[in-house]
Amino acid sequence: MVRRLLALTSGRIAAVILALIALLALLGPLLSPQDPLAGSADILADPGPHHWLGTDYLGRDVLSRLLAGSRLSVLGALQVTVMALLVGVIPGILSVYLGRAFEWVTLRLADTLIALPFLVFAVAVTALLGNGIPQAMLTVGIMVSPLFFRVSRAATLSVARSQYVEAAIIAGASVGWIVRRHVWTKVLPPIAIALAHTAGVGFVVVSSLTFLGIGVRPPAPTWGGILASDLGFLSYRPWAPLLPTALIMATVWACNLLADAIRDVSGEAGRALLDNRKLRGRLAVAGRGA
Amino acid sequence: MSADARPVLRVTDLDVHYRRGTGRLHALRGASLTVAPGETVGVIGETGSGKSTLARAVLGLVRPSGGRIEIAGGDVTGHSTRQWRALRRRGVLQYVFQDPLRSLDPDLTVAESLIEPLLVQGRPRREATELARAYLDRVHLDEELLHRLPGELSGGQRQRVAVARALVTDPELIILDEPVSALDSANRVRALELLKQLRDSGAALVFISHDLGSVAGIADRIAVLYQGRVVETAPARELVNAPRHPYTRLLVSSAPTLSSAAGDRARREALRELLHV
Repeated sequence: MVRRLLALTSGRIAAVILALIALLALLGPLLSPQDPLAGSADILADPGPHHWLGTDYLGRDVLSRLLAGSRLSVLGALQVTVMALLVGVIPGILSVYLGRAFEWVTLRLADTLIALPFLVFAVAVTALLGNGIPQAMLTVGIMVSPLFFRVSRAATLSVARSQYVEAAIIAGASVGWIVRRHVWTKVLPPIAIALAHTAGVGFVVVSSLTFLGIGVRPPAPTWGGILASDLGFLSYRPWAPLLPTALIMATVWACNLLADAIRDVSGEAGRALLDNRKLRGRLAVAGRGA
Repeated sequence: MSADARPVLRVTDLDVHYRRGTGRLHALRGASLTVAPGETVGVIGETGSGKSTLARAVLGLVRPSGGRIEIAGGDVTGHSTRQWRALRRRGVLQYVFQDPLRSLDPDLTVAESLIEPLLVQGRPRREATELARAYLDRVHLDEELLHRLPGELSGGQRQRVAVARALVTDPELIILDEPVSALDSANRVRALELLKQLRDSGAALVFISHDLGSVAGIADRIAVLYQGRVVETAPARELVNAPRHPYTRLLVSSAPTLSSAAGDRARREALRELLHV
């Protein structure tokens, strides 16, 4: 799978960008030329030899903040993704196989989560579990999990009734075998696309929570947070929001490219699933909800 | 093929019904069928007569509401899911689907599909691949097809792959659901040849079809299914030459052969009248 992905130009480009971003997340805070939290009298400065990308409204070095913020942003998006996979995809696949009771409970839970107002839920979780980035990411992950639940369930359902799965059952295959060998490859491409979508939404959500002081505490830099504060000073530094935006966009774009590449190598069944209008519609609707 | 040998399949008074809204749909009402080792039995009937339900019940995919199913001497009627899985893993029983394209995973190569029943049994991959290769040869398919995807094969080749997959576990009983109806006439003849070969392999065959013509040439005995009941079972030749039940007579006289094309239409209509009473 990985080899076939890298054989595609789109797969290679996506891999390179994502590798760079991962590197940034790992080394970014170490590369910061200055303290990302240290303010100075030199506020809203234009780029110069001292501050390569200028300073923000508290006189903090923008380049340092972007680099330092990369770890939190990427980690946040990753946490959301892992959470969504755990709470959404796995129950989504299992809901088809673990019997009526499990199916009923998970479906109602998913419906409940869709109906829940996001910010109220975030505040409630913070009140219960305390304020912190893991808690915030847990919240976001759970809130986007219905999308993953539905996408993976729809894909699994369409595969579970196929004759080749029945043939495997007649050969005596267990549920685990069927999921690993027949279901997973068909469910993966639509999930990959939903994931790429969520990773993008994840950055924005991290910043919207920052506004409320949930999760990331204000002085700590994130791409979304930097973008939000830059937007307040558009008349002084109109180009400034472009920098965090470019980073967010590159990541989201690479995720989408990767999703496309996965779809291309995932074979006929996966493509057929993605061409399924119903599923696309569901993705679009769920995307709007997020 | 002696009548006193332990039958590989014995279905007694099998009842199956499906729930349809508030009502029930009786798919099988007291159907009985016995298949001796190595015997080829044709099951014919029109759409909705319960042919596929009979096959699915024997495979454990549908729960019967009454009657008894014995496979290779063991009563499987009350088997749990786990017991069914264990039985299926032994590979005694195999099934060939009507549409080979849909019964092969489009993302798996021919080799992967062929060795699946063996891997499920827990055999090592290397041994399974060797076996698959041997069976591919038996159905006259080239080894280079092993690395193709089902979408890259012709209809006839896919059918052969499906048959080879049913053979790899060396089953005692193979159920074939309309194995030739998805094929064009040239491939149909070849597939029938293949089925004759299959019969010679020693496995008992249950050949399900709506078409008397394609069953008559290959089956030892034919069972006629009509409205969920086996209305007549007889050696193939006898059934074709001297059908007893009115429905069988109708089937025989409406078989689209050249000789019967000019057949007696009035007689067929009389038989239809009789059935509707």
